[in-house]
Amino acid sequence: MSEAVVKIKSVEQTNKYSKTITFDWDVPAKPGQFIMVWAPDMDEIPLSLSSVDEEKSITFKVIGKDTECLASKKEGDRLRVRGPYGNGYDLSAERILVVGGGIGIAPITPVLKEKKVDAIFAARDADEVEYAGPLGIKYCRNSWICTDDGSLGEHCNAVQMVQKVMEDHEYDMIIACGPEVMLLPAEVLQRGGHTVPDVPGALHEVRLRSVRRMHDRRAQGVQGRTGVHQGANQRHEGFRHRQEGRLRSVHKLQVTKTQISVSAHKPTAVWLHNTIK
Amino acid sequence: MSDLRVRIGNIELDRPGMVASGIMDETGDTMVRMLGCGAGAVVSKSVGTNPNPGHRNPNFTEVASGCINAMGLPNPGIEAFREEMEKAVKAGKIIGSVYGASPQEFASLAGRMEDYGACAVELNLSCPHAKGYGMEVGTDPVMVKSIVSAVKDAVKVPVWVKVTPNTHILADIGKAVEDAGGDAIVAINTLKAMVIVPEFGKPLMSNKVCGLSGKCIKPIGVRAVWDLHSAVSIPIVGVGGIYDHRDALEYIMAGACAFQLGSAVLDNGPGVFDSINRGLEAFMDEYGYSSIKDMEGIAHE
Ligand SMILES: Cc1cc2nc3c(=O)[nH]c(=O)nc-3n(C[C@H](O)[C@H](O)[C@H](O)COP(=O)(O)OP(=O)(O)OC[C@H]3O[C@@H](n4cnc5c(N)ncnc54)[C@H](O)[C@@H]3O)c2cc1C
Ligand SMILES: Cc1cc2nc3c(=O)[nH]c(=O)nc-3n(C[C@H](O)[C@H](O)[C@H](O)COP(=O)(O)O)c2cc1C
Ligand code: FES
Repeated sequence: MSEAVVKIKSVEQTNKYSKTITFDWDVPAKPGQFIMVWAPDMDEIPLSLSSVDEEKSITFKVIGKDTECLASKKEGDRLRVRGPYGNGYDLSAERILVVGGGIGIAPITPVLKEKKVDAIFAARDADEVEYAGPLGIKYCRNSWICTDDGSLGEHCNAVQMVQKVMEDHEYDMIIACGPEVMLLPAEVLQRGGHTVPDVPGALHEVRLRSVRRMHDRRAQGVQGRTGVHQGANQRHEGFRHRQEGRLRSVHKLQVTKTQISVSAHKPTAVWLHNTIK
Repeated sequence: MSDLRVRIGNIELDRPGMVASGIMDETGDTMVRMLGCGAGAVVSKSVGTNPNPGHRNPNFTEVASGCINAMGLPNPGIEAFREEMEKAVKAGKIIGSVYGASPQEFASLAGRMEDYGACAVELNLSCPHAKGYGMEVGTDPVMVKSIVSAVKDAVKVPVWVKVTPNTHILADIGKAVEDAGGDAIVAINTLKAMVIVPEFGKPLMSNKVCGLSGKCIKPIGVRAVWDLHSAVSIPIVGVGGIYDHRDALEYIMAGACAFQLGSAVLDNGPGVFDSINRGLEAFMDEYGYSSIKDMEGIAHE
């Protein structure tokens, strides 16, 4: 891990919902890894790398005060970064399907450049996913787009699209990155089997924050550990859970190995990176 | 075959390394997991009377050869911590760490930890960045003595005291602990430190002042244990920058009977305990030591 103050090379509107900030930072990084980003007027937040070369980038959705602050940055402004953290995706399998949902498309794009894979880009609407189309054509063996409102590509959600694709394609591994709703059907969260976290620093930070949130809720009198609370509990203590097993049927999406990173930041809302094997 | 068992007063551990307070020990589940990784015991996160959200972030970063933190003692409060402790103590030895502002508060928190099943309590008299707590109460020998006495009156389990290196009267603090009947001294907590980001012209940490841990503090910790060994005769537990078995041996040979790991667990994962245990065994076999006790304080001889 390293830390640095980097100078922003460009700030671009990726699509209607998100921005991409590019900067030079000469540290080795792998697809799927994330960094911690800070500037004086904001909290430090975790963001995945949407480009892992010497020229690195982060792509984020503006959802609150810190991402708003980041979005207000201009070329030439400075950011303090540390990382990269996380295992990154395991790209050893032969036939890989990557699935990006919404802002989750950004962290999987470095995978496309690293290895010939199939990809599904899923989003709410055309505006959110349009930019991914050319990436699929340029780098992927096969790629599919789907939108919740049918404004581009297939009219379905990411999970349905995966099922459709797997009717006539076989994969050794699925890598998915997206919102909780997209990954929940894969029964990711319900499964136990924690392994040790391997994200020093950021992990600690993120985990502590989550513990703190959980404790806040308890302090506010939230009793019991059901539902979201249970999820929060599982998440803060694992942050990175892993599940072993084997993909048996190509017709059924079966989760056998997962690596989940959760925004412990907000136990109620999750950001997941998955490696489903 | 070399024997890794150690005694800290009347507490016996199968392995000499413990998880230091504040690292992977905020919940019952994480404490259980750490016990399964070759640690002889786990010291819980320091817990206070009321829930505390801790300092805002940034509150953690790596620096050259170390870590910087100003967590600010985030914890759920002693009442909510019951559940975590009850889960953890079923899996192994847990030392309950507590922090307070007065002898009465320490005594009552320690009593709760004892009720929850802690095999010993560790008094955090050393946090460098929590106003009114930690080293603010732990650098005055009179205060230390009255805190330790109050806790000794309140609990039957051994009372360990974690001390700060941010003082020039460490030996006096150690003697105050011993005089008050303290059962062991844990040295050291983090060093008071600060990071400034020149590009922003501002301190990095929201709390500005923070604590330095990791590799770079080892020589300071070893010296602290060395000085304490000369000053007191109660057991000393070494902590600060231990990453491998040679680091642990420095502390042991300076006078520690056991040791704790914090930053190394963050940096290298819990597997670090197993590798230190293996390293110690190999070293003891090669150099003909049959127990950790045989090496305790030998650098003084
Ligand atoms: C390892 C990791 C990698 C990440 N990578 C990216 C990335 O590449 N791009 C990106 O846009 N975001 C990413 N995130 C999420 C990002 O960190 C949060 O969006 C950010 O911290 C929000 O801060 P804020 O102050 O703007 O929003 P806040 O004001 O803190 O939150 C605004 C609202 O959004 C909800 N919310 C906050 N965080 C999340 C979340 N993580 N998931 C879902 N809802 C949330 C909150 O509940 C709240 O209602 C990642 C998170 C993690 C843990
Ligand atoms: C993130 C973090 C949190 C800590 N929290 C506590 C704590 O709650 N109570 C305590 O007594 N010490 C705490 N410490 C100090 C450690 O227990 C240990 O004394 C110190 O880090 C030096 O050891 P190390 O170099 O092995 O990390 C904390 C240290 C770190 C890095
Ligand atoms: S919070 Fe760790 S000693 Fe202060």
